[in-house]
Amino acid sequence: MRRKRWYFFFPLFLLAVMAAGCWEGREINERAFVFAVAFDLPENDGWEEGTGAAKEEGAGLEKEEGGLANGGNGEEQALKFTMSIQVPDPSRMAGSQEQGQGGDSGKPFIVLGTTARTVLIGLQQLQREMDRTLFLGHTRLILIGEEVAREYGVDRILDYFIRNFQIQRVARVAIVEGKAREILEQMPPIGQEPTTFLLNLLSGTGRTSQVYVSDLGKYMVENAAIGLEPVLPRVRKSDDAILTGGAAALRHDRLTGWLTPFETRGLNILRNEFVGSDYEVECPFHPGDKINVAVVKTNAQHRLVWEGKTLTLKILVRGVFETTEFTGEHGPQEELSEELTQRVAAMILNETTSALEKARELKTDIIGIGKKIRAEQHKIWQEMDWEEEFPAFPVEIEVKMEWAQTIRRLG
Amino acid sequence: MGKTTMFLSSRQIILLILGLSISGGILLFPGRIARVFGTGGWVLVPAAGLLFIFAAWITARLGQLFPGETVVEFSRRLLGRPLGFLVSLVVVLFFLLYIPVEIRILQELVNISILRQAPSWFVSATFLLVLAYATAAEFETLAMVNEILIEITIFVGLLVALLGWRFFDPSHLLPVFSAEELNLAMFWEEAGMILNFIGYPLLLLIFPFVRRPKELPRAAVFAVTLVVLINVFFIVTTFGVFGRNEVAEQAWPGLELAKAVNFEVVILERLDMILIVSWLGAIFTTCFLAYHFAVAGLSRLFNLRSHSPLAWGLAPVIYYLSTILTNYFAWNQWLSYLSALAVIVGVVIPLFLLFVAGLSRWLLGSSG
Repeated sequence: MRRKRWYFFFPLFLLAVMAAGCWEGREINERAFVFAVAFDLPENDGWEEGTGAAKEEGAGLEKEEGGLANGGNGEEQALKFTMSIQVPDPSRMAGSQEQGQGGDSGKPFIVLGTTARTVLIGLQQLQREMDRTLFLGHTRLILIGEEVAREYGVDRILDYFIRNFQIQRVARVAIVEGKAREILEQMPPIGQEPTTFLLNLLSGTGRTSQVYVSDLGKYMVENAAIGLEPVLPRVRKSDDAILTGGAAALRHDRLTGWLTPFETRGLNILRNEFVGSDYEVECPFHPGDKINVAVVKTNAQHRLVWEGKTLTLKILVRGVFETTEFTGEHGPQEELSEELTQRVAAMILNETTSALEKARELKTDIIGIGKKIRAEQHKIWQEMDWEEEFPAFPVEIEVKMEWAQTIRRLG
Repeated sequence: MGKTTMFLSSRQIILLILGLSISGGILLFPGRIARVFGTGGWVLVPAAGLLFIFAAWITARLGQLFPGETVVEFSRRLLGRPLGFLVSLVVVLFFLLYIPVEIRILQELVNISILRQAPSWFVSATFLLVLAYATAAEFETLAMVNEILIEITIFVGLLVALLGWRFFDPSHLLPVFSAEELNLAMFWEEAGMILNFIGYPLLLLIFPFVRRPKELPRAAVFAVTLVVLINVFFIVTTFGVFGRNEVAEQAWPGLELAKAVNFEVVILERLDMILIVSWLGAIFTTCFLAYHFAVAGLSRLFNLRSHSPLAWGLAPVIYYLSTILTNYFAWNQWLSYLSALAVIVGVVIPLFLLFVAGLSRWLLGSSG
């Protein structure tokens, strides 16, 4: 009987001890959620003091105190970057009584910045300005300024983020044409803070396919692959707006160049990441009139074939489009079909070819041709110096489009 | 193992083998394969699996030859008292040494995901208390608890893996045969992968409880085949999603897979958490089964009437052993040694015992 009681009460005791709560409770108001992080090159070579909110509070940062970043032994030191973080200010979020009160900007977020050699030291420095613990578990956006991407490389910046278990693989990474910090400070035309706004833009919600959708996890996979160079979306500031569209091509984790939005759309088609987009073509029957078409889906089949003694990649793009708008007097007509289909196919071919040409120009295999050769023709691959051979590697693109003819009005 | 009623059905035997085989190691497994065998590892795993399927069949055949006995009894009969004792002790040691390392894996999983700063003594000690309590119970109860937990774990694991197929790229599985990626020098470092196949040695201690001994070899072969298929599926999925190079860089490819399939801004945004929570169940089944068989083996070896005091008595020893494994590299090395022991227990001992049993029968037969 005593034994049975023991079996009953011991689990109850364990439950009472363990189910009562967590080991390390953290109050939510003791945490500062870092939504976004941005990296730039310092304005000057020397030490840069804290900026943004920290500057106003007079909490200027002191020079690194011989800590980890200094190395402290006279060895060659890593280069510095400025690191800015965006932290939401709950008291200024929508619905708050205090909205618009206090402070200079009335923005529902603050941007803090510092200069450091490593991300962790940067965070430690920023922590000295915050009474709340900086928490990166909700960081969804990592912006890297183009100078940093060109001079330091992306891997060095992302090293901290890929090792920290708190950081999610779905965090978006983008290269900023210009200063990354400016993007964090820019108020979006709609919504409360630029992070969510930018996340939506970078997620391709507009379905233009002119944005290369990527995240930390995808970057890691592309970066690790042999015969494929990674691509990250491009972000830039124009007057008072944040613009997306286009992409940054990287080789050996350094920025090699930009793809225009149209080249990016071509790249998305070639890499089967196209999610639909609108095109404007000339009316085959009435020069000057325009017909807008929506290409709803495409599929690119990559095939390696031997043409004599030359290995060639043949890419067959198949796709479906619908007509959406006519500027002339007539609507969809059956006679249009053949000519219109050819014109749309020519546009797609033009775009995909420009993406390929840009990749060749940058000597950066962002299409993954090398990856395919390595997988399917491994012996040939072993004899190749791909970086040298890629620009001249023969690629043939063929496009076949179909008019889905989903028609509401004929006239 | 107080009672010796024959209650174990074939289904329970299969799930017991799965329960012991599927543990924290499977979360590391694809990384190990990628580092040692390269892209073609996903083809080599089923080939290696065949060896363990055969060894499982051998082990089950042993049980058929000695109905109603465990390795403790029939090894003494076959090899004599001292050698039989030694063989049984090695089997028991294998189960006993499996527990500390799994506790460390659990502690690391808890620390990297759920309770980041919880001290290791707290995580290890509370888990060990629950383990000792579970082990003190009857084997029949453990078999039923295992049935529930391991099924949930396998379901969640497969669900996460299947969701990962959204990002699957078949070209990541090629080239299959690439000598440049073979790094056999790392094999010893990554030898812990062997443990992913070795759950079937528990057969050596369950023969008296099997309801239908005739079905035992079939159940054992089916269970290990299932274990191999599950492992291959995880490897193919992680390789297909990440590619060999990325997998080779990861310490926990299984967890990274769950993180990769996280959905943005939907209810199940953190699938990795769901995987971890369910995987704690897999580690629990592995630990309490290993704990139980260690205790049961020792009880039989020393003719103890009750195994409960031994279960509680071993807890401090196991706790001490788990504290030796201070970091990833320490417990990884432990896993390598344990794998060597696993090969002895899972392959060498059954083959040797079956050979001796066959030889003695032949000798008895020829002498009339």
